[in-house]
Amino acid sequence: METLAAVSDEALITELKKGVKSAFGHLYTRYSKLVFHRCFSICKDRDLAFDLSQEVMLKAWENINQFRGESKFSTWLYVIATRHTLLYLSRNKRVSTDSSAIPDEVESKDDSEENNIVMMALISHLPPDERQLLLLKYKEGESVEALGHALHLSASAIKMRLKRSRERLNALYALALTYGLESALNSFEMM
Amino acid sequence: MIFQAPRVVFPFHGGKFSLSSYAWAKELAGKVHLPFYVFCALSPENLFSKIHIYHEMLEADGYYFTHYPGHASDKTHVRIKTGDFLPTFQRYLQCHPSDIVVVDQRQDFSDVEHASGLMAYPNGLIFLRSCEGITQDNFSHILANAEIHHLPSDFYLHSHRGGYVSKLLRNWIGREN
Repeated sequence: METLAAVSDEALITELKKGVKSAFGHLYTRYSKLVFHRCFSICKDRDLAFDLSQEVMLKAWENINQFRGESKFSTWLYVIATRHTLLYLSRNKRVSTDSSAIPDEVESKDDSEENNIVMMALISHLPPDERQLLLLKYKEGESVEALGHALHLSASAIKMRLKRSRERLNALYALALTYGLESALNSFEMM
Repeated sequence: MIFQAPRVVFPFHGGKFSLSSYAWAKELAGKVHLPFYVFCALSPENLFSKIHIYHEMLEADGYYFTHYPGHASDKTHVRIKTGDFLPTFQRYLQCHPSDIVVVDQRQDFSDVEHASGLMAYPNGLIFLRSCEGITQDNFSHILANAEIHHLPSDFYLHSHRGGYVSKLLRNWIGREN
């Protein structure tokens, strides 16, 4: 059991997927503080961040089979922590919004326009090949097969690249909505 | 008397503590299906170290999941109060007589003054003597060696049977104080 403490993330994850549950403890020790700080950076509440970080770690355990090693484990956790915290905050915000029960269509349109601007700004900061792929697929409506043909890649490789880009963009988008565009752009290197 | 949902409480004064004792206390909470709480009190000038407390707890949870693997839903609740530790904790015990307190003797509770201070309250108390060589298998052994106060006398005999202990504890908690 103790010998697992010195092994790589990849080996621990393999063990965990095989059912060696103690591997989770080592991953927990390694990454729960990182997750805590990620949650705290969003919610600005230490008590809540502690609760959320536990939930994020347990969620990661429950969904470990969905981690396919295409990114670093820390990046995967970072995305889960970001989404989980934002979801928590939005749910709580939604409760108070619902209680006021005054929908404002004009504001929604403005929000939507602003969100599009944010998204385009984020896309424009992506590496050129990643940006081109996303724009061709989602703006120009090119098919996966056509993109594969144009870029000399298989359809599955295109799908994988699109998936990674979407995940990265989603995390950055969430950051931008919470902290502003500048903070999100500064986070590019961390992702 | 207003019924209060019982909890397993691990007091932590912010200094050194035994990860093994923490893990044992959390495992006890899981076995008897009670929520697990860490109680901590910090003086106002030390409140900056709140984040340190959370770091310690996350570290301790990592230890717990390593040594007691298999409890995916166990969560630690932390209550941090402001004030000197012992009087603050005593006030807490007064308000939560149903809680079961697991004391790590490596903390400052081992001396007579503190121990008797805690025993003045009706809470169940478990003073752990040693948790070395902790494994899932020796959970009962550690309990058998512990000093137990205000809990049913045969509590430790049945500790490996979570359902039974849970019933036992609930009967005890539901007693007239």
